[in-house]
Parts: sequence; C-alpha cells; structure tokens
Amino acid sequence: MSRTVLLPSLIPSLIFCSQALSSPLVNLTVHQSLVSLLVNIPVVETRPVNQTTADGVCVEGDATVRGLVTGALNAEDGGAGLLLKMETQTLTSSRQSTWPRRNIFISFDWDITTQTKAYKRLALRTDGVASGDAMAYSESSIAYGPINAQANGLFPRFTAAMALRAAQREIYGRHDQSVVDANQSVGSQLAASLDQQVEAMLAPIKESFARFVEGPFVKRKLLGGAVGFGGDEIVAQIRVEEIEPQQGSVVSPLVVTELEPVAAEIHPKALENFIAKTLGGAVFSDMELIEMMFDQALPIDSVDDIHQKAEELLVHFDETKPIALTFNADEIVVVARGSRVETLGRSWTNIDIKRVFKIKKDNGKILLSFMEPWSIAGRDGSAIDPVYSKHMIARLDEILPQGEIDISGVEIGRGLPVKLKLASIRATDQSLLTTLSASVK
Amino acid sequence: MSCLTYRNLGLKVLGTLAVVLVVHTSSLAQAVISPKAAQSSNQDLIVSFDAKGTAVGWDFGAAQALAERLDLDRDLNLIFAGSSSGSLIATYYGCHGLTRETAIFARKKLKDWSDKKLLNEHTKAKLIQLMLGEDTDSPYTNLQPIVDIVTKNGTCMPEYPLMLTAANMEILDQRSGSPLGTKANKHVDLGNFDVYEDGRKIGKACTYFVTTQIAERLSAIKAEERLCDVRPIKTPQDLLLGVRASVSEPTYFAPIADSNPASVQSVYGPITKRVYNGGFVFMSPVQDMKRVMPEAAVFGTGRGVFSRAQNRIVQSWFAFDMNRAQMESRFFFDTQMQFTAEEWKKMDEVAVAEQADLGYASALNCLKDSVACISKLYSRPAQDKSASGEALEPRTRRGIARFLRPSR
Repeated sequence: MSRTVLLPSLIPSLIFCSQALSSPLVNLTVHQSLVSLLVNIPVVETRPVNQTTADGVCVEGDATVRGLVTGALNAEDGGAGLLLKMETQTLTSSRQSTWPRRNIFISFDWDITTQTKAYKRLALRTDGVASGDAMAYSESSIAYGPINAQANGLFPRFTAAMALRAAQREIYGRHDQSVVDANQSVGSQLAASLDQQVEAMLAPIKESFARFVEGPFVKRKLLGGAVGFGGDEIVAQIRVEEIEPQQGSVVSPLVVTELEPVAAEIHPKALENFIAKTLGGAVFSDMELIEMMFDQALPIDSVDDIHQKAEELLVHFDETKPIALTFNADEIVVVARGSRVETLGRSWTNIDIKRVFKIKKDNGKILLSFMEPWSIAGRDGSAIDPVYSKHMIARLDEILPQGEIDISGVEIGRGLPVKLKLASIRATDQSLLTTLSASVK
Repeated sequence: MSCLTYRNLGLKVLGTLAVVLVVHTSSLAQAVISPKAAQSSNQDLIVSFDAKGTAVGWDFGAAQALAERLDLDRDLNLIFAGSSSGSLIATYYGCHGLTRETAIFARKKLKDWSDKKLLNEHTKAKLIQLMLGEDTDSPYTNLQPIVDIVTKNGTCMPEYPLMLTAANMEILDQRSGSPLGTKANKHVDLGNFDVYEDGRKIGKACTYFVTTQIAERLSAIKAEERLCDVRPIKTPQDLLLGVRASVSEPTYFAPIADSNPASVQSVYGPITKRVYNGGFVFMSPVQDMKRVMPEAAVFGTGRGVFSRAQNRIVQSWFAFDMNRAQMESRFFFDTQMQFTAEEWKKMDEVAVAEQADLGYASALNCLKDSVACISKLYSRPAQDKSASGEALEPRTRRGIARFLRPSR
C-alpha cells in the first residue's frame, strides 16, 4: 500500500523550504494510528465536593469524572502538532446542599451532569516541545431532588411552607445560572487537571528530546543536516535536510509512502555523517570490536592477553569518512575505510573492507543475508597479498561469519508503552526504507 | 575506557558526619603510631589503595582487616599511596592514621555512603552519551561530603607519608574531533613515562602529589627515570588539589587545572601549565616508592584489568596503555589482594557497605598466607632496580607476615 500526502500549502513557514525536490537525509513519519495507540488514556476519578456557590449554597457531595484522553495529529506552524482531547462526563451528586437563611434552613439534592471537552495543543519544534494552556468546553444538565425547608420561631410550619415556595422559585429561577456555574466550575477544573497531568508527563519527554534530539541532531547536526518538523492531520514528520531551511521559501511536499505507524527513509549520507562524527579517527582491533559489539569483556588469562597480538587486525578508521554505504536493489554495501590497517607485523594505508548485505523476504520473514565473503583491497583497487587478506578475512569472520539473520522480530523502543516491530525494510536507489508496526503491549 | 578506574565512587556522607568523624578520630590520635620519615628500612610498609572506582568499599573493608592483623605495637612506618578513588582512602588514613578504631569508624560510616548515583558509571551508556556529544562528567560537589571527611574539612596536613597520583592531561591528550577519534601522534615510554609528540619529548605522563618526606626520598631517583613530576603537599590546599586531581578521571569529573603549576617539580624544566585528569595512569602508584625504599614491604588492595576495548579507548585518547602499566606495577608488591571474577562482578551489584564486607573477608583470607596472596599476572618493568642499583626482585613477593600479629 502506498499513498502520498501533501502538506496543506497554507502553512507557509513550514521548514524544509529550499529543498523542494531534493531527497532528504532522513524522513521519519509517524502516523496517526500510532498516536491513537499511544494516547488512549481512560479517565476515572471520584473526588469529594465541598464548596459554596456564589449565591451561598453550600454543596456537599461527590464528583465522578469518567472519560478518555486521545491524541490527534494536526498541522502546526513550524512544527509537528498534536492535539490532546479529553472528553469526559462529570456527575456531581450532592448528598445535601444547604442554604441557610435567618431562622430558615433550606436543603435539597441535585445531580449535575456535565459533558466536557478539553483540548491541549502540543507542538514539536526544533527548539523543543511547546504546549499551550488547555481549553475546556462544558455542557451541564441539572436534575433537582426534593427541596426541604425547616423554620424556627413563631408559626414555623407556615414560615417553612412560605420559605419552601420562595426557595423553589429561587432555585428553579436560578437554573440557567447554575448551569453556567457548573460549566465554568467543571470546565476550569478539568482544564487545570489536564494541564497539570500533561505537564508532568511532558517533563521527561522534554528532557529526552533535549538530550537525544535537540542536542545531537539539531544543534550538533550529527546527521549532517538541519532538522525540521512538520505534519498534518495524518502524519507527523521529522526531516533532516542538507541545507539550512530558509523562512519564506517554497514549501516542499511531504511524501509518505507507507501507511505503517512509523516509516523512515534514510539516505546513506545520514548514516555516513553520523558515523564520521562519532567514529571518525577511532582505532580498534577485531577483538576490541567484538567486546564492544557484544558488550562483553574477553577473558585475560595471561600477561600476553593484555598485549595486542601480532595476529590481531587493527583498523585505524578514516577520520572524515570511516564508513561508506550504498543502498540499492535490496543490497546494502558497507565499506569500512581504514586509513591504516595492521596485522602480522605489516601495515597498509587506505584500505577498504567491504561486506555486502542482502535483504530477503521468506515466508513473511525478513532476513538479512551476508552470504558473500568479505572483500579487502586498497582504495585505489590494488590487491593485498592473499596470505594477508585471507588472514584478515578469517579474523573478520570471527566478528561476522557468513549466514542469515532473521530480523523480522526486531523490536524498537523498548521503553515505549507500545510494541514497535520491524515490519518492512527495503534498500532502494539511495535510500533505506523501513516501516514499523505497532501493537499494544 | 577510564570509566573502569572508577567503578563508582559510591560515597555519600551527610555533612554532619564529617564533623563527627573529625572529632572522633582526633580523640584517637594518641593511639596512632607516630610517623617517621627515616631512611628506607624494613619497618616501612607501603599500603596502596589501588584504584577501583565504585568498588571503593572493598578498600575500607581491607583496611580494617589490615589494621586488625598488623602488629601495631612493633616499630612500623606506614606509608599510604592511592590512585583515583583510592586517593580518598589513602588520604583518610594519611590524615587519620590506620588503627583498628579509625578503620572500624570509617567502615561504620559506609552505610551512609551507599548512594551509587553520585557518579555516571555505566560504560555503555557513557559511550552513547559521548557519541551523542553529551557531557558525562558528574559535578565534583557530589564528592564534597566525603572529601570533607577524609581531609578533616580541608584542614588536613597528612600526618603520615602519602602519595597520590594524577595524569598530566595537557601532556597526554591526543583526542581528535570525534568522540572516539585519535590523532595518534603521541607515545608514552612505559619505562620512564616520558611522553613524545610526533617524536619529540614533551614531558611526563603524570604528577605525584606527595608529602615532603616522600618528595625527599624520591629525589634519590635519577630525575629522568622518575615516572612522574612531583608536586609536594605543603598545605591542606595542596592535598585537596591532589585528591581532586586523582579522582577527576576522564568522563567522570571535569579535569582540574593547577593554579600554581610552578610548584610542580619536573625534570623537563619549569611547568607553566598543568591540568590533571585522574589517576588512570597508575592503578597502584608504588613503583618509584619501592625503588627508593627497597627494604619496604608493599601491600595493595588490588584491582582487575580493563577490558581490551576500554584500554584501547583510553589509549586512543591519552596514548597510555593502562593494562601494561598495571602489569608492571604489580611487580613491586609483596602482597596484593586478588579478586575472583564473582567478587568483582558482585561489587557492581552491592552497596558500598557490603563491598566492605567482601573486602574485609578477602583481606583476612589474604593475610593468612600473604606470600601466596599475589597475582601471577605481572610483568617486569624497565626500572626493576632500586634507585641505588640493587635488584628489586628478591625484595618483592615476600608477603608481609613480618608485620602481622600471629593469627589466632
């Protein structure tokens, strides 16, 4: 399935401007279906009511709020927008409302049912997560129970009867105002509650955004380009473009090719840039790479074990481009570029160590196949003496032997409340397209 | 990575405890053996609190066992050495003396020092942070309560000979633009810790913070053979700087600049700039002391080796092979506690107070046969003779039984 969503052109300041037709380094889209899974929070709350209304009625009882918070993506100026909706019904049942008057005591019961819709806007922009104040809209209906009156002094029965009639007139006469008061009271409380709860939830999200998105990718540009956020009612989008966005330029269309909850299009340059900025100029031996990849220290049983052995393969990764990647026809070609490679007492400069990975689909499984052997040669195409190249390949096979790995069950984002699994992966002309499926944990 | 020099300084002490400890230990002063700064003698016992990061509780337990087993009634010159987290413990005993009372008292306080969140210790998480360009350093103020205790609220001039060590960052640093990148333009000669940049000698890899007695003794070594520059501890502020310099390991605490670099004595002339970044060059800073005190016995609390990858990262950043240096420093010990793999793993999982239990039990066991209690994994260093040219090998790996009371 595929489709194209065009961002409404009425959002002129949306970024990604000058790259109208260029392919982005990264294009990550999150579909509304994921938001629906993530933001689906029931609200059930009962709290005591003990307050005095503006006209002096002392209300005691319980308010029970039931409802649901959901999220909807929306267009947001200069960012990706999310509208949180809280729809609730609040039933305020008074056990006894009292209305003291001189020598007269009026009491009555009433049930106030208030339907409330509260909204809170969130926006993801390059400078963080912004939020507006929650707004609430309520509609109330009131059902009155019997009104009672008691009086003291002379002729208490008569006085009470008179007072009862007066109270009925006054209470029923104030019905419309009471509805307005209930709307305002319940609405403002729920709006405040939504603000409070969302802000509490947002605190760690803001911190994570600052640490894992804003710092490394917006400010330090580890992917080699400028990050921008956009979206509409169907998808939210993160794009990384090579050229800084310029305000007022032509809006580029958002192209979404998949309907899965999460879809990502990654240009090899983005990964190359990231690896260059994190691994450029690093030096590791094959044994050290095994320790790092498998997060396990290899045993050191003798003094010799602490020394780098002659047979180890030591790679000095290139400072500016330690890894080169090519994506094409479901093939991923990875070339580790060594400015120097050492083993068996010899060293070579400008060596490329290549491995081809193939993406295969087999009975619904997604397989990553690396059946082709390693290939090692000088960057200028010069060959390495087979004695040494065979040795190097044997060492590299310790890290990654030939075979196939089933990656269809790979989970991403373990800390999330939903389970995200790799659904598809394709390597096409200069991009890696992946989608993730989502399900409730 | 140097993270491992520092497994987690899980030392949190309520500020008030500092006062209590100082008051208490000062009342014990009479029980403490008086220090001597004599010539090398067989009464000298160098106690090395080897760097071990979060496993620092182990050393407090080991110190208590040592205090219980040492024959404190005999003539005994205790000399303390420490690196990284071990510098805190060496300083505590250098300021307060090693007695059963001070050891027990310190250990009792460990239950208050069990907050392991003071430091960012998780290697893999740190690596990710570094790759994302994040700062991994913890605020040094996290350590201030324990520093206050070990230095008597910053007033201590050590009563005992003391050596702390720290790497000279401005000499060793060869990091390039990316977090794991290296310019690979420096080289350290582990024979004398001379550092070369593009083939040109630029200085020593480290600085010793030493009390004046040790500074005087170190002068017996030919300057070009001495492994580190020397910065005498002449004031309590010098000691505070030494502790901070030694614990400020890369990725743990920010490096600290010496505001008085002229006070550093170097074979390579006046020092105008000095920045310290932790004791990672010396897990066990005993080599040069043993060379000037060949008759001294050396006891160490031990530490494990680094993984290959961790060692490589530090080598990439600072041109220094920590594992090789550690193997060579092991040559100089008479007794050095060993960890089983299970003990080392367990220390990651338990609170500091429980680490002390492990260290205590292990030290008692070690001292039952202190000759056997030493690693077989060691290598001979280039400087394997005393400052006056005597072979040191016959004066190592002898155990420390002569200092111990007969075991019951």
